[in-house]
This record gives sequence, structure tokens and C-alpha cells, in this order.
Amino acid sequence: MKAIVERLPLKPRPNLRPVDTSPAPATSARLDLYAIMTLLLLLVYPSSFWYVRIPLTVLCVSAFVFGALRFDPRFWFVTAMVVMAGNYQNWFTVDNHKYLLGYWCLALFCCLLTEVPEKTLAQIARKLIAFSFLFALFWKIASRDFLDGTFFHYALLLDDRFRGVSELLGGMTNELMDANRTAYRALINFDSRIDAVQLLFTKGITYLARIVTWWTLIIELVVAVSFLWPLGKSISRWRDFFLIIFILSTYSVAPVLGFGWTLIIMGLVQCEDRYRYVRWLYMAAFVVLQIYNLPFRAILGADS
Amino acid sequence: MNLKQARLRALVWAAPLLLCAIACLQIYLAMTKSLSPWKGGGFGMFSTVDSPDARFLRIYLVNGNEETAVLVPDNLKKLGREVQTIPSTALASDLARRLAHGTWTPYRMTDPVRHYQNAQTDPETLGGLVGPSDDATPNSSNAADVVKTLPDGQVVFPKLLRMRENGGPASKGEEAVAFQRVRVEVWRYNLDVGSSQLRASKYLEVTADAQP
Repeated sequence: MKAIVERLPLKPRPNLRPVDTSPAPATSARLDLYAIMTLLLLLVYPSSFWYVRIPLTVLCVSAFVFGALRFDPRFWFVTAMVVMAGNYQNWFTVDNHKYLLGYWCLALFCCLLTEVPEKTLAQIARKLIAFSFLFALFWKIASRDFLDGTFFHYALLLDDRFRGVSELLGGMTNELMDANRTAYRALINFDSRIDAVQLLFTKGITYLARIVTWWTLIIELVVAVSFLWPLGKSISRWRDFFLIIFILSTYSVAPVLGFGWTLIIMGLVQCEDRYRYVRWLYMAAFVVLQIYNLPFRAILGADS
Repeated sequence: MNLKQARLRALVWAAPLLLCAIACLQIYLAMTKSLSPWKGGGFGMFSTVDSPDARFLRIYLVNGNEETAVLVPDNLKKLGREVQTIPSTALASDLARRLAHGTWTPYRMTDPVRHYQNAQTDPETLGGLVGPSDDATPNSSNAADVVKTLPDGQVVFPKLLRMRENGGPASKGEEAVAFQRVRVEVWRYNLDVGSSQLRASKYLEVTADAQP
């Protein structure tokens, strides 16, 4: 047997190279951190559409296994295209933060085409935050039912995400909330013939709606202006604090964690080295967001 | 500015400009085509009551003077959502046409134990295992108030209709409901804080004739 094996003509061995799983040496560890956080965001808050979720999962896992992919602009281009194609296909259902995520993946692609990727990414992050808040502010000013407090009045009464705040700060009881929910269902049920239902609320809801309306307007205005302001001058120096306050206050009420996480990554990317503790504040905000997501009502027995 | 600087500037501005372009398009569509500010990438969420959920559909199968309210079937839910998000006569008419082409039958529910026993004893039922029963639980007190129980244990809701998924004819034992046309209404509600009422008003209405 041994003799036969020895007589077989041997093919020349292919020149195998070990797979390079480490990032390119020129790129910084910090850029790698931003890429990893983005990949985790894509994995932890995936799209609800299988044709987006499955390719993204494959892409993300590949980038974890082969570290060099995280620094390859082609990888981020494909990732951005998958996210954006999903958004395009379902533009009338996807939430705004999915659009922002698409722009963010595009930003990673663009920055890796430059000689100063970290600096470029910081510039893009600042602009994306500024413009998204500017358009959010535009809509709040353009909507009549926002400025007069109607929107938050409605949300505090009928949006389940606001239920905890309505009960804790607005004085609403479980019974009042359930009565409103019943009235709402009666109006929108497919075989309903009624065109108006009565809602019940406390005086506290009226005050709370006004406070939340003005708080939202002010904090979004301040974030937009501070991120648009020239870097290092006046209000711009406080922009990270305003963004962190926005994240902590907004997502305590409406825990849209995917949006919060996207803002935290972009905030982290653009914050300046001279305020090192600001990075820790962003990381602390990330942890607090997860705490907000705890089922407090179930833990405190309010659902029983 | 040299070529290198111009390239860098383009790379810095590509994503933010795309954000601005899509947001401006969304504002235009919201102002001119009734797109809900919540959707379309314009960052208008939490700015108005007028989300896609605040626009709802009322759909009726019309047969002479009789009207039966129906739900949007699962295979048309995506189109229904589009109608709610950016309502237009064209989209609503498309939905009405597709609904009018469907075969509508009363909902049936079968007790799983009875269904299994029938299948064991009746060889003909074996072929229809996937057909006659629906898992969906009806969510209507008005429509479900007239209920028939068949000898084989099936519970039939004559006033609660469903559209057959593939648009085919009614299966064995089922009776297709006759209708002349389908009317689709898009409604929108708003909160009147003064009277503390949630008030709905009809936004648009279209009809489509049933297939002869």
C-alpha cells in the first residue's frame, strides 16, 4: 500500500496562504470598534424582511470572522445597498431609523475610501445627526396638532409605549387606559359604523402633554443647532451633552432602541478626544437604554 | 480646489445629501400626496396623530341593499398598508378590484379533536385536511352573533367573511357569497382635545364591480 502511494504522481501543492483575520495595520482600533458596534446593531435589531435579514446576518457574521472585511469599503457598500434596497422595497412601512442605518453604512463605505477614515467618519456623523434632527424639528413645527399639544395628548392616552408615563406622571389609572383602548378599538374595528368615540383622561394628562411637547421641541432644536454650528465654537462644544440628554429623556418614554443605538454610535464617532469622559457618557447611555427596556410593569406587577 | 479635495468633499457629503434628498422628497409627497409624515424617511415620526395607523380601512361587499363588512385578507395586507400610508384613488381602486375578484366564503372553525376524529372515520375528509378550517379567531362581536354549527362539528360564521387566498372557487362544503361590488373607504381619525373625542372622517371612497 505504501509503495502505491509513493508511486502516485504528486500534484504540486497549491500555494496556500493563511486567511488574514486581522484588521489592516494602518487602520485604528477605534474605527474597528465603530464597525463592530454597527455590525452588532445590524444583528441585534434586524429587519423584519427575510430578504434583508438573512443577507445582513451572513455579511455581519463574515465580518466578525474575517476582520479585514470590516475595513473593506466594498463590504460596507454591499451592506449599505442591502439595507437601502430593503428600505426602498418597503418604503411605506419601514421606520426612519432604518433609513438612518442605511446612510450610516454608506458613511462607513465613504470614509474607507479616504486617507483619513476616522476623521471623515466623524464629519459625516455630525452632519447626519444635524440633518436628521433638523428634519424632525421641521415636522414638529409644521404639524399643527404637535404644536398645540394634541399629538402627545393622543399618544399619552392611546399609545402603549407611553402607558407607563401616563400612569406614573399623568395620573391615569389602568381602568381609564383600558376604557380608552376599548373606545379606540370600537372606532377602528372593520365592521364599525361609528365615527366618534369619547376618551377619558385626567387633568394631569393635559399638563403632561404640554410639558412633553415643549421639552421635545426645545431639545431637538438645541441638538440640531449645536451639531450644525461650526466645530469648537460656542454651543457646538456642548453638543454631546444635548444629544445624550435627548437620548436619555426620549427613549425613557418611547424605547425605540434601534434608533437610540444608531445615535449613540454616531455620537461616539464624532465626539472629540479632548472630552474623553464624553465617550463614557455615551457608553453609559447605551447601558441605560437597555435598562429602559426592562419590563418594569410586569416586574412591579402592574399588568396583573 | 484640487481633484483630491473635491473627492474628499464628495465622500463627506454623499450620505448627508442622500438623507436631505429623501427627506425633501418625503416632505413633498406628504404635502401633495397625503403621505403620512411618519413614513418615507423624512423623520416626521412622533410629530402628528396622522400616522398610518390613524388611517383605517372600511371595506364592504355590497349586494343590493345589503352590505357586509370584511377584513383585508393576508395576501393583500401590504397593499392595504400602502393605501393607509399614501392614500390615493388609484391605489384604493387597485385594492377594491383585487377584492372584487376574490371568492368570499364564511369563516369556519373546527374543533381540532372533532376534525381529527372525522378524518379518521371519513376517508373523503382526509383529502381536505388543509382546506376547510381556519385558525383565525374572529374579532367581531357584531358579525359573529349569528353562528351555525354543522353536524361535523364545524362552526360557521355566516356574516364573517374571508377571501380565499388563491382566488379559486369555494371548496367542498363551502358556499361562495354573492355580491355585486366592493366598496373601499379610507378613514382618518383625529383627536379633538376640547370635546375629548377621537373623531373619524371619510377621506376617500372607491368601488369596484364584482366579476360576472
